[in-house]
Amino acid sequence: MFGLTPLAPWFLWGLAAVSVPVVIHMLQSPTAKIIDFPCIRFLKACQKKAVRRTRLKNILLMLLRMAIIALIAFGMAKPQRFEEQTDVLPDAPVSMVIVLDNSYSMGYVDKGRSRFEQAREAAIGLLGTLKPGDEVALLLMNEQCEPLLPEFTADHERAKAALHGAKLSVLGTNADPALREAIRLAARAGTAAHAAETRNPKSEIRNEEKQGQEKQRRRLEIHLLTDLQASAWEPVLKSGYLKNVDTKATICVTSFGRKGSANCFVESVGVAGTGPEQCSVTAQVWAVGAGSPGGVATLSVNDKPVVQETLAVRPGAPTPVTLTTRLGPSGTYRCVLSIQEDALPVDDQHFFTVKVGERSKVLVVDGDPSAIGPLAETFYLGNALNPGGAAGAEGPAPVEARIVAAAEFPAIKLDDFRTVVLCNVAALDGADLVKLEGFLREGGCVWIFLGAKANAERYNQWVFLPITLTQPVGDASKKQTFEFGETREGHALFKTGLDLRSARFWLCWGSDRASVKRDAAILQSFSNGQPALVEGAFGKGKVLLFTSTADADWSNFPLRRAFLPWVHQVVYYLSGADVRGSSFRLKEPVRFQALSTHYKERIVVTDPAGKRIVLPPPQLKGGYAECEFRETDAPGLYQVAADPAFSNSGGFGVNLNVQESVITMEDPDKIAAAAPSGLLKFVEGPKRDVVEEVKKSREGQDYWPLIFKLALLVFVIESLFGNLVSRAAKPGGLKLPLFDVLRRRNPGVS
Amino acid sequence: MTGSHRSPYKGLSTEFADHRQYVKGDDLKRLDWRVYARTERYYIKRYEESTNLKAYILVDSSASMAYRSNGVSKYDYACHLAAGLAYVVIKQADCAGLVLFGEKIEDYFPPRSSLTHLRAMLDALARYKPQKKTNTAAALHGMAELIKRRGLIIVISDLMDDPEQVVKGLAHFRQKRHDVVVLHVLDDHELNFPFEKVATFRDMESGEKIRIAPKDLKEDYGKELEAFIAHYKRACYENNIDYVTINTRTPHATFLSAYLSRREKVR
Repeated sequence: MFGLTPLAPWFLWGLAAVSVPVVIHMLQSPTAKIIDFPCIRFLKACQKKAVRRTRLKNILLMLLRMAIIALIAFGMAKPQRFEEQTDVLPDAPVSMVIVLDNSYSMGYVDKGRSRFEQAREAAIGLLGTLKPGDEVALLLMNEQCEPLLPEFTADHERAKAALHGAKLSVLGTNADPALREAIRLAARAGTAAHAAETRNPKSEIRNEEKQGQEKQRRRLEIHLLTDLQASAWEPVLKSGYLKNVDTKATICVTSFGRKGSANCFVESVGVAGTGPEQCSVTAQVWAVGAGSPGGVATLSVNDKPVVQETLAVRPGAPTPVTLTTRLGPSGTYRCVLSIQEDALPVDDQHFFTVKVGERSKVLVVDGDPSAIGPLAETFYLGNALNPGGAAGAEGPAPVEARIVAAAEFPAIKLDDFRTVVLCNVAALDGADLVKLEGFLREGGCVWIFLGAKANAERYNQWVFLPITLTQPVGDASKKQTFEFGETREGHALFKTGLDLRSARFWLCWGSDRASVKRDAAILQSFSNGQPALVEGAFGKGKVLLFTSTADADWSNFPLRRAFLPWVHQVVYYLSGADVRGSSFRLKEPVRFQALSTHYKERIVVTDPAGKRIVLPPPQLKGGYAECEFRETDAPGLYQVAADPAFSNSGGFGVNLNVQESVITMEDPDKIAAAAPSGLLKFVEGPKRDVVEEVKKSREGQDYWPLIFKLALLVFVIESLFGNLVSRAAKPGGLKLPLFDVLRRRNPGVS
Repeated sequence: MTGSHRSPYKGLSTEFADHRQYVKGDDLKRLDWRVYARTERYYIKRYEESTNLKAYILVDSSASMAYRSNGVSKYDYACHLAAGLAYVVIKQADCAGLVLFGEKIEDYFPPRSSLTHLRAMLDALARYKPQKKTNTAAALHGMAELIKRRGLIIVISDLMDDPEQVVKGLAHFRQKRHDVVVLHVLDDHELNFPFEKVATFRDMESGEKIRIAPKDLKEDYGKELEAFIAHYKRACYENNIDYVTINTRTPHATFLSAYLSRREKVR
C-alpha cells in the first residue's frame, strides 16, 4: 500500500476498529430534557441550517477519530518504504551497473583529489555494498561508452581490480551512449548469477520459470558517477531517450562536480610569420566559473621556454595573448604554449609545430625588359618580391629576388637559386633548356608567366610544361573581361583564402585541358573556363604555369591589392620559405599531401608516447600523393618522417577538444524532468556519501514514527475541533445601549 | 388640582398656546378681537391645557410572560414596572389606568388619581397569573378604540407576536395622537441563550416542541433575536414611539430611575 511494506502485518487487523466511531455516531441519541421557552420561533427559524452544520461537524469529527484509529493500527504494523523498486524485498539480490565518467574534466582537482579519484573511490565503495550473489558490470563514460566489464560478473574482486585499472581519458563526455548501454545491460540482469548457479551441479534442474521469477525479484541499480557536465547531458536531453525508456532499474546519478568551478584553458593558437625566421603566436585563452585567473602564458620551443607574457582573463570571453619570438633557421619547431596550471591542468597547454622554410633566392627572367621601369615585364613582380627594397631592421627579406633580362639567362648559374620565374620569355633553347631541366631535377622550382612574346609551339616542346598551350584567348580591346574562377579544393595555395575577385583579365593563353600531364593538376581556372594556374612536377622540382602576364598588358591583376600577397604565397609555396603552424584536435585526421613525384618512401609518424606508426602507401589522385593519419588519440607533439614537400611533414601538434573544459554543471531538475518520475535519483557527491545513500535506499525507510506523529497531530486537531464545536458561540450575548448606560450609572449592579 | 405632566391637549386654559382660524361652530367667546381689529380676520385663541395627564399602562399577561430564569418572571417584572409607574403618575396628581391583555383585554382599570385606585390596580396585577396565548395587536387595537381622550400609553410586554401586527397596533395609538412608550421586557436567558446541552424546547404558549443542540443554534438565535429587536426599534423610531428593551436581570428600581431621568431630559 502506497509503496509501503508492513513488517508486522497482523496489526492491520486493527483497522477494523475504524468502524467504532461509525457505530458510536450511528447510535448517538442524546436524552434531552424539556425546557419551556418563549422564543421558540427563533429556534425554529435557525434549526434547519444548524442541523445541517451540526451533522457536518459530527461527520468531520467521526472521520478524524476514524483516521486516528487507522493511523495507530497502520503505525503498529511498522510500515517501511523501499525506495525506487517496491516489488523487491530488502534482501533481494542486486544487479548493479556502474558507469564511471573518465572524461578529462573529471581530472579537476577538488581539495587535493581529482573528481575522477573521488568517483572511483565511490565506485569501489558501491562494490563494497554488494553481497555474494550480487552482480556488477562496469562501463567508462567519455565521448563514447567504453566497457570495463562489459558483462555482469559476480566476481567483485575482479570488478575492483578493473576499477583500480581505470584511467582518466583525454576525451570529452557524452552521457547518451553510456546510458543506453547501461540500460541495455540492466535488461540482461541475472546472467552472472544464473551462470554461477548452473555451474553448481545441484541446481542444474532449475526451470526457466524460476529463472524468470529470480530475474524479476532482482534489484536493478545503475550508478552514474560523473561531474554532470552540461555538454555531456545535452545529447541525452535532445534525444529524449530517457522520456520513453522502459526499464525497471533505478538510475542513481552521483555528481562530483561543483557549481561555479573555475577553469582557465587555451582554446586555440594561431601562428603567423612576422619576419624572416620570426613568428608570432596568438593564443585564445578562456576562463569559466568563479574568479578571474590570470597569470603567465609561456611559449616553449623545442622544450625550452623562450617567451612569457602576463595575462588577465575575463570569465566567459576569450582573451587573446600574443607572444612573438625569433625561431632560427629553416626547420620544424616543436612548440608548447602553456598557461599557469590550475585545478584542471590537462587543458592548460596547447601543442603545435611551426615550420620555417628556407630563405628563398628567386631568379626572375624578364622576356620583355625596358629601360623605362614601369614598361618592363617584371616591374610589378619585382616590386612584389622586394616590397621593402633593401634589407630592413628585421634582417633580410625571406625572399631574395634577382631580375635579369632573358638575354642574360645563359650566363646565370642556377645553383644559388631555389626558384626561377620566367616572365613572357619567348623561348628557351638548347643549353638554356637543359640547364633549366637540370635545375628542376635537383629540386628547383620554375614559375612561368606567359605573354604576347611566348611562342606556344616552342613552349609545348618543353618536357616540364604541365599542359599544352594553344593560342591567346580573350578580347584585346578589354571590352570583355574574365576573372579567377574555380580553385582546387584543399590545396595549400588556397588555404589563406585571398580575395582575388577584383582582378580582371582580358587575355590569357588557351590550353587543352585534356593535355594535362599525368603528374600535373589544374589548380585554378579563369571564369571563361581556361586554366589559370597549372602545377606540374619534373624531377624533384615543381613547375607552376600562370597563363596570363606578370605585367598589366593582359590584366589589371598586378595593379590590384591582392597581387603582392598572392606572389608571396606562390613563391613561399614553391620554395617553402614561409612560417606555418600546424595543430589538430583529438581524433581529427591529419592529411599529408604532395606531388606524387615527391613520394619516395612510407611516411612514419611518432606519437607523443614514442610509438612509431608507419602510414600505408598514399593514394595517387590527380598527380598528388595523399594519405591520412587518424590515430590522433593523445594530445601532444607528433613527429613525422616524410619528404619535406609533404604538408605537415615536419610534425604537428594534437590538442584536446576544449568543449569539455567549459566546466558547467547541468541542472539535475532539468535532467529529472526529461525522465519518467522516479527513474532518476541525484546524489550530490561532494556533500553526501553515495554509499550510505544506497545502503539506506536498500534497507528501506521506517515510516511508523512518522505515522504515529501524524496520528498525534490528528488527535490534536480532533481535540481542538471538538472543543471548538462544543464551545458556546459568543459569550456576553447582545449588547444593548441602555444597559451600558445603566451599568455606568450603577457600577455595583450586574 | 392639576398634575405635573404636560398634557398633549391644547384647549381652554390660562396659558396661551397659539391661534387658529375660526371655523363654524367655534365658541365666539374664544375669538381674539384684537387680532380681528388688526387683520379683519377671525382667529380663535388656543391655550395649553394643563389638565390631568391620563396614563394607560398596558401589561402583557400572556403565557410567554411567565418565563423566568432568575426568580423574577417577565410578568413579575412587568408588574413591578407598572406599579412603579402608576405610583409615580398618581403621586404627581395625574391619572393612571391599567390594562391587562393577552389574547384580548383581560382587565381594564380606567385612569384615576386616587391611591385607592392604585391599590386596586396592584391587587389586580398580583392576582392575575399569565396564561393563554398572545394577541398583542388585537389588544392594542381594542385599547386604541376604547381610549377616547388622548393620553400616555405605556405598553409593557415581551412583544412575542407578529411584529408587523404589533407595530400596526402601536401605530394605531399614534394615529389617535397618544404619547406611546414601549417597554420591551426580555429575560436574560432569552437575550443570551446560555443553554449548552441538547434539549427539547417547548413553546410556552403553543406547546410546540423542538429538540435542538443549543450550542449549534446560539449564534443564529442571537442573530434572529437581534433582528427581532431591531425591527421594533426601527418601527418605533419611525412612528415616534419611545422604545426600550429591558433585561429582567436589571433591577426595576434602577431601570425606572434611569428611564424617568431620561424622559425628564427629553421634555
